[in-house]
Parts: sequence; C-alpha cells; structure tokens
Amino acid sequence: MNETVKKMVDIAFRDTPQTGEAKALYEQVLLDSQERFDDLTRAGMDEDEAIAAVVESLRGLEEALRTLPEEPEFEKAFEKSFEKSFEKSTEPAGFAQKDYVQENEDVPASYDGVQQLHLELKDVSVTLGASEDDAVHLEEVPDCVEVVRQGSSLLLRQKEDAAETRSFFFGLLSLTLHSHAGDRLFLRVPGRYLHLLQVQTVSGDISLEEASAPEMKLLSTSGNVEMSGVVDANARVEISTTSGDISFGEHMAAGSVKCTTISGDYGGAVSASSLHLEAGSGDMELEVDAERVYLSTRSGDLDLTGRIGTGQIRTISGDMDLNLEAQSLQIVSVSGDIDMNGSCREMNMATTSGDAEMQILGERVSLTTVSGDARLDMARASGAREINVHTTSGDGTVMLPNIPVQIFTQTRAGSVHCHRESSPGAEAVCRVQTISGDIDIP
Amino acid sequence: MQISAEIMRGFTEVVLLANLAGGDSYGYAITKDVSQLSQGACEIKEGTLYAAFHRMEQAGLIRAYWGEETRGGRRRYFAITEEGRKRLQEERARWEDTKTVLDLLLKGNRKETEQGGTAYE
Repeated sequence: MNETVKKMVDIAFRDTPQTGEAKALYEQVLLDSQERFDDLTRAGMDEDEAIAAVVESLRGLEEALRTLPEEPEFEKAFEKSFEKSFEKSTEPAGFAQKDYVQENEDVPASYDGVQQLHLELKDVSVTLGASEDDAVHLEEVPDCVEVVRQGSSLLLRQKEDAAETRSFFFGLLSLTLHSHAGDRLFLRVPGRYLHLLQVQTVSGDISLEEASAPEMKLLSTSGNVEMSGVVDANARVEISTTSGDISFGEHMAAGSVKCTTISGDYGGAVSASSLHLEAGSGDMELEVDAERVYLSTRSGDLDLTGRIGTGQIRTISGDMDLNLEAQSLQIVSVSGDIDMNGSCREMNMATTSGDAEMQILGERVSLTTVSGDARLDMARASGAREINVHTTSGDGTVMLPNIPVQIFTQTRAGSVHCHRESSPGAEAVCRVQTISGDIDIP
Repeated sequence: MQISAEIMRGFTEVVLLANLAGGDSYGYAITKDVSQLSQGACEIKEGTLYAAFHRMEQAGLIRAYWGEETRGGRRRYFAITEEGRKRLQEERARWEDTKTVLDLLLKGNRKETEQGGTAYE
C-alpha cells in the first residue's frame, strides 16, 4: 500500500461523515486508486506523476460523496451533545465567538469544570492521560490546534490551513505540502469529573492511557486507536475506524465496548461486561474477558483466548483459532475454518464449507457443517449430555468421553464406522448424521 | 480523438451496463476496459463512476457485493440485474434510433447552394 495514495484518499474523505456507505466507498476508492498507482508506476511513470494522475482520477468524487446519507449516528450524537452543552450553558452560544477562543500562547494551560471534552483533529495525533486533579491539563498543543471553551464544554480543533484553498483538489495538493502528521497533542483528563470524551481524527492516531470518562467516543479514518488501562467500570466506549487499527494494549477494562472497523486489525486484551466488535477484512487477535460478547469479521481471521459468558462469534471467510472458557457460545463461519479448544457448557457451531475442529469440555455441544469436515474431540468431557454432529457432504469424526453414551448414527450415501458400543438408556446422547459424508467414531 | 465529456455524461450509465453485461467487475477495472475499448477516446473518471454506481444501485439496475480481500481491503464488485439488462436493451434500441435521426440531421436534407443560402429539395 502506497502511503501517499492512502493519504490522498483519506484527504478526499476527511469531511465525509463515517456512515457505513461512506466507509464502503472509501474502501473501493482506496483499492482502485492503489491499483491505478501501481499500474502507472509499473508502466514507467515516476511516483509524483502517478500521484497526480490518481488525484486527477478522483475528480468528480464530490458528486459521489454528496449522494451519501448525511448524518451517521455518531455524528448525530456528537452534534446533539454539543447542542445540549449549549442549552445548559448560560453563556452565549456559538464557539466562533472570539471571546471564547484561547490564544495558543496560553498553553500549556488547565481548565476546571470541564464536563464534555471534544477533539476534532485531522492529521494531528493525540495522546490522552489521566489527570491527578479535577482539571483538564493541556500539556502539549501544536500551533495548528485551537482551544475553545464554552460553558462546561472544551473543544480542541485543528484549524483549517491558511494555504488550504476552498477548492477540493487544490486542497488535496496543498494539504500534502502543509502536513501536520508529525504534530502531537497531549493532554490529561480528569476521569472522575468528565461526562463525555469525544475524539475525531482523519489520519492522526488516538492514544488513551488510563484516560477515562463515563462515555467515550473515538472516531478515526486511517489513524490507529490505542486504548489501555482501567476505564470506569460502567463506562461506555465506542470506537470506529475505517482502516486504523484498534488496540487495547496490555489490558483495557470498561463497562461496555463497541467497536467497528473495515480494514483495521484488533489487538490486545480487553475486559468488559458487554463487548461488541466488528471488522471487515481486519483480523482480531485478542484476549477477552466479558459477559456478553459479539465478535464478527467478514474476511478477517480471529485469534481469541480468554473467558466469555454468553457469546456469538461470526465470520464469513476468516479462520478462527479459539481458546476459550465459555458458558454459552454460538460460532458461525461460511468458508473460514474453525479450531476451538477449551470448555463451553452449551456450544453451537456451524460452518458451510469451512472445516471445524473442536476439542472441548462441554455439556451440550452441536456442530453442523455443509461441505466442511467436522472433528469433535470430547474425550475428556465426562459431563457431556448431548452431542450432535450434522454434516451434508463433510466427513465427521467424533471422540466420545469414557462414559456410557447412547449413540445414534445416520447416513444416506456415506459410511459409518462406529467403534463404540451404544448404551441404551444412558444419560448422555450422541447423534451423528450425514447425507454423503463418512462418519467415524473411534 | 477524444469524445467530449459532455456527450459521454449522458451515456455513462449505459456504458457501465454494457460493461457489466459481460461479467461482474469493479470500479478501476471498468475504467480501464472503457479506455481500452475506446482506444483512449473515452475516459470515465472514478468519481463519476462511483456516483453513477450509487444511482444505478438505487434504481435496481445493478447490485453490489464484496469480494475477497486483496492487499488490505475488499473489492466491491458490481453485477447487472435483470432490470439492468432490460434497461440496456431499451437503451441500445434507443441509441439506434438516435443515431438514425442524428445521421439524418447532420447530413442535412437541404441542399447547400453556392450563395451560402439553402434551398429545399
């Protein structure tokens, strides 16, 4: 991936609200632009000319961007929270009022009584730490960021570049000449006093170390988001990126965590009472500890360890490598392979063409595949009560625990090799069915 | 020769339908096809393309789906729908009519006289 191409596309989308459709369009434009760039450089064009051709090809994109739905939920929430903070305030409304704009000579500075903190950045990266007292402390503020105070709200936003012309395409070019990508904003926030923390960037990274608020919303296009430390146990965290990675560091704990990304990867260790993570092509490599879990990717792989109360794990074509202790799990894949180790009292697993391999301690376990092969090892599951394996054309191998088990097998065109004796009336029941696959019960 | 963008604008959608009738494809691949087929005479900008895709999808002429991941992202492919094929047939027929009429008009059925004036036959 050429970084300049990506930057160009990021810039083209920087003012576009992050709806699902916008993200889809962004992904198409990014891949197409990348391919165009590759074709041109392969044909002998030098990189600068190829970039110019990519920018030229994006002409007219505004028309496509205008067709997108205007306000995604996140933006709406953002606007609303602003409106609310104005309503509460006795000060005149409107951040544009000069009285409320602090000059940057005053920073580093501290602000008391801040309940809502909003950061609106483009290519500037931001690090947020925890404040020792009840004030927001601005430790490092680059010149391109202005600070606006309005009642209990504090807004830090990246200014429009003076050189940046109104025109979209000249804007594209001039912004590359006036990049603030190296600039960093650093502040400390008082988790106990803050109600809301919202951070929005285009390509800048967002990093939170022990920074917390009951409600946190982090949004980035291509910037990475890293969040670590123990956040308020009731905190609601929402993270959304297009291509930026989402990382929870060595350990992040919060009340409810909801994240979406298209091509960014997930990493780190996270615990929450409710965990909802979605990815497109991005992978998930996570240590989880959560009561209610929903994890989903399209083509991204899932590599998970940890503990789950009740959960759903889904993918279309990603592979799953799971090491989990769970109460109740539903695992679904279309073409991705599933490899699950651990324990789960109630487990439902289904794949279409992916192969499934499970080594599991559980009470009620059911595994369904269409053409994928299924291998279920419950040799150590002496507490097993119900074991169901169902395939259409896939082969099935089931290793049963060393307890009396009533065994039912059924096949239409396949073969059955059952080396275990069925114990009629036994408490544990195993049913293995296939249409044309072979069944093996060693 | 370069065909004027103004003229092409009216035909973007039908050109895309004709391309997709030959098989599912995606943005950049279509722009390349169009450029090659027209021997460089017709270029569709990606921006124009995406906007057209959006309109066509809304109108039910094409449908989009995600392909497998390539180089850190997924391709969004487009396929022509039955509705789209029907529209393509209609547009092709309409183009034949338009062509016939424009040929007549541009050739002129009035006789140009030496004086520069015209006389009806």
